Amino acid sequence: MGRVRRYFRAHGMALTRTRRDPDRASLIARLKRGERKAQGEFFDAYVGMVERVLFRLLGPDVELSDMVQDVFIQALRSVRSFRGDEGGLESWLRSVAIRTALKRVRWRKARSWLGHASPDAVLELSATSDPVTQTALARAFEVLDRLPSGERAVFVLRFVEGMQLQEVAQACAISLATVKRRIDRARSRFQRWAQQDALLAEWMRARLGDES
Amino acid sequence: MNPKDDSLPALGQAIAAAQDEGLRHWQSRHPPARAEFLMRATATLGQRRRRWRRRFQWGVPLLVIATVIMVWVAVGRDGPRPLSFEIEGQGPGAPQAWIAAPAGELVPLEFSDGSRVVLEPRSRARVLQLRANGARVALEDGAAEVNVEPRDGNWWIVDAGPYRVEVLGTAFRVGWNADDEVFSLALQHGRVRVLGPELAEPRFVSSGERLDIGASRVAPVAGADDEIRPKAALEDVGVVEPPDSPSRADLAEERRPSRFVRRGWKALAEDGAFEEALNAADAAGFDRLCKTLGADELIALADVARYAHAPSKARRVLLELRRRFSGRDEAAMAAFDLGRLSTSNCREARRWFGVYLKERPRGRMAPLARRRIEECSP
Repeated sequence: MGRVRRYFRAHGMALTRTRRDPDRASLIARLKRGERKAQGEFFDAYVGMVERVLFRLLGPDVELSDMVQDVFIQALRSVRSFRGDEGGLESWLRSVAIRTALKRVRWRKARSWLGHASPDAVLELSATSDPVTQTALARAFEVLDRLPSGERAVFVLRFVEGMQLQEVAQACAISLATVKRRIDRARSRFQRWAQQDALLAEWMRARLGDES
Repeated sequence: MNPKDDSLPALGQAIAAAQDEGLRHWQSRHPPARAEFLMRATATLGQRRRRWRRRFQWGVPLLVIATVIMVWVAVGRDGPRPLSFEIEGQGPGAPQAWIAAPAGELVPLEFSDGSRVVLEPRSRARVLQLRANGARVALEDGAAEVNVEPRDGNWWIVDAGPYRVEVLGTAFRVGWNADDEVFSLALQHGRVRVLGPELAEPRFVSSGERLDIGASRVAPVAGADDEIRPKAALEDVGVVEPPDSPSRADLAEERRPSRFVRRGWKALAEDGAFEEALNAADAAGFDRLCKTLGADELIALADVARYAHAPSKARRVLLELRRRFSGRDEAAMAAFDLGRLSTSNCREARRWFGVYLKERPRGRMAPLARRRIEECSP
């Protein structure tokens, strides 16, 4: 190590040991103090995750950008009551995003003119998929849109996002037993309705049902 | 052959892959609005901090006096200890732990201030927080009878799904059907304040009154779905029932279905019953609603009319909205919706989409409006 230091010193460079950025470790404390720089770091670190969670539950909603900001604003409003460590910050923020998304789902159901994938949203997804898959997935989105918001959330988080049951329970702030019950009901409804759609049922049989 | 049961994870992965593709496409056109977020955070949160700073500055001596009084009161009484509670038959309860009432059994929670929460069979709840002057209970599913000891400065809150019941010293029965997302409240004594979806402002409920709110449920489709509540339940609309005073003997093993009493047009629309919702709006006075509803509600009423296949009524609502709320975002949105209503008349559609673009050239629906104008171009 001494030779390395001498080398760097001889060439006018400073040898710095990689150490954990203290600002990152104290992000939560700085957010609670209302530091603007911390708010920017918070946004940069988790905006991708928030966008993904909202997109999973809502599809390409026309107000998605605003909703991403709503999630962060809501999180900043309530960060003072956050008691976890930095490791729990992401899962806490995910819960805020899920609650925001479910409020939007309920609002949309009242309006009912933008489903999980409106005809325009389907166009957004059709960049590279084959036409049959495009249509089948759009039909799958429509079936998902018919589920009650609570069942839809657990179904999407479990099967689309791939979260474990306990993670889904924590993210949705419900018990594990309720998660299991809702998944069971969502699965039953989804399969029954998918069977009623000939194209979707056939696509599922062809692409997914006979893989073994 | 039916789709295999284990095909759902694979379907989920296919949906995820398609969504990821769509998300990348969306992200390429919507870079994170970091600067806008920071400005908004400063504006929203900074204002609150400045207000608190101003209050704190003037309130320092008052705070000192208040602290002295609080300490005196705490010492004078038995101390500011938070409440505790016991689960009958099980012993002391712990905050945050789930409590489930089995089928056919009631589970009473006895609080140290004399208040009592009784979970009905097949209900699930937990005590979120305990304070010296009350508790916060979350009812995840089912129903509970709540008796709060009336006391000055009570702080008792019951969360039933997305609804919050703020207790002002009373006895009531609250229910939340998590599967169908229906909220119900029947007040026996006292008064509560309810907040939550479908309530534009907090709703006070007094002795002898009840409140039923139907939240989202699956829209009925052609072909029977035996899991959706039978339409017969909607025949209760218009019937006012006396509040329940359930005794233990009256409580059934099956979870009580919520009864829809005098459901308004909004609740019916939320359930996808658009024709019934339009009938309810007519019964409430369609013209009167057009003249008195807020902008957001007029948008919703127009949607109800549209989905109930009454485009002329939808048009009437939207024109009234534009007249009453001229210049606002909702009025511009109404222009867009008028364009959507005019799909069989391209000239009319172009005109309204053009109005939207004139009023909101950079609005959220601007790209779609331009596309619709192109589609309708001769």
